[in-house]
Amino acid sequence: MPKVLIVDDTAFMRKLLRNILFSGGFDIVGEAENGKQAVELYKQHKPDLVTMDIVMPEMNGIEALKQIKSIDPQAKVVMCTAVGQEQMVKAAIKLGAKGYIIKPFQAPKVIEEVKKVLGLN
Amino acid sequence: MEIDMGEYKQEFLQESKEYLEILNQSFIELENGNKDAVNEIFRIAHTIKGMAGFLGYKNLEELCHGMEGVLSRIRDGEMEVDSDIIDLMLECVDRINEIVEKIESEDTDDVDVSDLIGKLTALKQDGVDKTNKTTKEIKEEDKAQDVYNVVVNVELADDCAMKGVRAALILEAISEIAKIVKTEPDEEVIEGGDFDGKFSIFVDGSKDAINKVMKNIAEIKSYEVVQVGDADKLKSELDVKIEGEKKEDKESRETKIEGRKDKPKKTLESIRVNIEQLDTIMNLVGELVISKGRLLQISQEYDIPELREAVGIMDKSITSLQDEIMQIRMVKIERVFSKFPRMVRDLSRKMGKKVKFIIEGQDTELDRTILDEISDPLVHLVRNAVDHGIETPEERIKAGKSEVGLIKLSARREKNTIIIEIEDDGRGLDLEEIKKKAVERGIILPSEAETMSDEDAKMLIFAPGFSTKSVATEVSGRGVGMDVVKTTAEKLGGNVKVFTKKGEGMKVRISLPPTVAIIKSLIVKVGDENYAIPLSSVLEALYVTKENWKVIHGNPFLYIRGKLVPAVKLRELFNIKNGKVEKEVGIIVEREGERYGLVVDAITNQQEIVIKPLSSFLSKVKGFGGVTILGDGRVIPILDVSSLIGGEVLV
Repeated sequence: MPKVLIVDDTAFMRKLLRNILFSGGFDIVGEAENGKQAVELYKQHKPDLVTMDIVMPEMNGIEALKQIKSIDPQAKVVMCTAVGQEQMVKAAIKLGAKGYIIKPFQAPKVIEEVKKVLGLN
Repeated sequence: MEIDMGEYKQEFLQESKEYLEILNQSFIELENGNKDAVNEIFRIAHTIKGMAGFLGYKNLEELCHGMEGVLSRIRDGEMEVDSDIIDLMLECVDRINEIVEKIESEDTDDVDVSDLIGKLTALKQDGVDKTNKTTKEIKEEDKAQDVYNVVVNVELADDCAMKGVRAALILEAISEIAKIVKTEPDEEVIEGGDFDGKFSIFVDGSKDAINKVMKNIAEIKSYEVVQVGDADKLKSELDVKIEGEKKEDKESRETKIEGRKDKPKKTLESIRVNIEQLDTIMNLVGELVISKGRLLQISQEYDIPELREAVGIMDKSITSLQDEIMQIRMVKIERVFSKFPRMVRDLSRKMGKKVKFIIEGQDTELDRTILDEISDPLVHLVRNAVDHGIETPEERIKAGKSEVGLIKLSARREKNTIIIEIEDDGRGLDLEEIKKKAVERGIILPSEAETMSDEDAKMLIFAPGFSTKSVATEVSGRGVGMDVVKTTAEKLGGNVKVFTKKGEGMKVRISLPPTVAIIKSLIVKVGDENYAIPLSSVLEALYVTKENWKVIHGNPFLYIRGKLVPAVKLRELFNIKNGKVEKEVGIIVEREGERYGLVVDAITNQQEIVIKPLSSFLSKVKGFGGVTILGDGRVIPILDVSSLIGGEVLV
C-alpha cells in the first residue's frame, strides 16, 4: 500500500482525509498539524505522498513544501486548498507540488488526484 | 463513495468554538496594533470556511469567505485597520458564533448573513484597486525561437475546479521534461483561468515523456500528443532526458541515506478527552478514597498488620492517582480571561470610555470546576470596572488623570491559594454614599451606618439587593451580581476582599483554592454526631478552659494570647443536649482575615474527604458546604465555616 502523510491543522480535515484515503487503499503513516511537524514526519517516514494544507500555524504549507522538496526533490506533494487560493496553489506548483485538491472535496476526486500523482492507474 | 458527515459534526463544533475564542482575542490584538494577528485571523476564517463547505453550511461558508476578502486586503497592506472595520469583523465573529450555536442545536445554519456580506463587500471594494499588471511585457521577449516538434492538445474535465491552476500544473509538469515554446491561448490567459477548458501547448521535447507526464495528471477529460518536426532532434532530446534521469536517481538515493541518519522521534503529545469522562474518573477516585478509608478502619479495628500494610501500599497508589487526575483537571485561567479583551473593548466603546486593559498571569492553573464557577462572577466584576469604575474621558481629565483608564486583571498562585485580582484606576468606592444607599435599601440601620468601620462598609456592596448606581444600565447594576460574586467564592472555599480609595480606584481580590472535590479535613464530634471542617480554614485547636473562656456582654469569646476571639458553641448552635463532655475543644478558624472559635466536643480524626455537594433544596441550608461519606459508610455534614459564623440564623 502506498504510504501517505496527511498535513492539516484541523482534526476535522485530518479525520476526513484519513477516512477517504484509508478506504481508497492507502496507508496513513502519519498526520501533522503544521508544516514543521510535516517536515519532521516526512524525514521519519519517507511517505510516497503528502497531502498538504496551505494555511496552517507555525509553518504554512508552502514553506513545508519547500523544505520537503529540499530534503527529497522527488517528493510527491498534493496541495489541499480552497476556492480563492488560486495564487497560492500556483506558487506551490511552481515549487514542485504535483497536484491539488479543492475543499470541499469529494472522495472520488481525492482518490483520482492521489492515484494519478502516484502513477497508479 | 459517500461520506457520512454527521460523524464530523462534533469535531467541527468543537474546533469552531475554540477558533471563535482565538478570533475574538486576535481582533483585539490587531486593533491594538499587532499586525501579525491578521495572519492568524485569516487562517481561522479560512479553516472555518473549509469545514463549513464540507458540511454544506452555505451561509457560514459565505460569511467566512466575505471576511477572508477583507482580511486579505488588510494582510497585503491595501487596507488600514480602524475601529469600524474591527467592529464589523467582530460582528461577523458574533454571527459565526450564532450560526455555530444554531448548527449545534438545530443542525442548520439558517441564519441570515446577507447584511454582513453586503457590508463586507462594500468594505472590500472601498479604496483604490492597486492591482499591478506589468509582467506581460517581460514575457514577450523570449518568444523568439518558435521551434517546436510536439503539440499537446488538452481538454480539461467539465467539473474541473480552478481551471487555471490545473493548466498551470500541466504546464509546469511538461516544462520539467521539455521546453514549452508557446501555448494557445496565451499562458497568462490559461493560467488566469479565463478559457473554456481547451488549450494547446507547443513543445520542444519527447512525445513519450510528455505522454507519461500527462497520464499522471488528474481532471483531464482528454488529451493528444501530436508529433510534428524531425526525428534527429527527437533523438538528441531523448538522450538528454535519460542522462537527466540517471542523475536525478543518484541524487535521490543520496538524500535518502542522509535522511535516515537523523530520525527524530515524534510522538503524539496530547489527546482530547470528554470532560464528563474526567468527572466520572474523578468521582471514581473519590469512591476509592472512601473505600481506602474503610479498609484502613477495618485493619485498625481488627488489628490485622498484613491488611494495614497492604492498605498502606494501596494508599500510595491512590494518592498518586488522585494527584494525577487533579493535574489533568487543571486548566489555564486563560480560558476564561481570553474573552475579556473583547468584552472590555465593546463595553468601553459603547459607553464612550477609553480603557487600557491589561491581563497578567494567564498561565495560572485552576481546577476546571472552579474555573467554570468563577467565570460568571469575573465577568460581572470586569463589567463593573468598566461601567462603574472607569470615568468618562472628560471626567478623568477634570480629575487630573490620563483620559485613558486602566483595568488590570491578574491571576497568580500564592502557596496553596489562587489569587485573582481586578483592579481599576477609576473613581473608586464612595463609602459614605454606599452607607447611605444601604440605609435607604434597608440593608443596615442608620445607627449602624454611623459606627460602621470602612472595612465593613466596603463589604456592603456584596449585600444582596445592593447596587451603587441609582439608574441600572444595560451593562451592569441590576442589583444582582456582587452578592453572587461573594457567595460563589465562598462556596468554592475562597473569599473576596475589596481595596479602594475614593477617586483613585478599586481592587477586588478573590482568593480561591486551586482544587476542589477532595480536601483535607478535621473530623470533629459534637454530641453523637460527627462533622467535617475543611482544614484550609483551620488555624489551630486548643482545649477550652475556665481561663480562656470569657463571656462579655452575653457574647462568648476565647481569650488567646492576649486577644479576644469571638466563639460559637456548636452544641448550642445545633441544639444538642445529650453527652456532655468535660473538656471541650476550641477550633480557631479564619474567615476574611477575622478569627473565630468553634467549640466542639472533640477532634476524632484528620483525613481526606470527598465533597458531595448538597443537591437542590438542601443546598440552601446555611452552615453546611456539603456532605461526605466516611470509611464506615456514615454520611457526615461538612461545616461551611463562613456561613456558619456569618451570624445568620440556622434552619
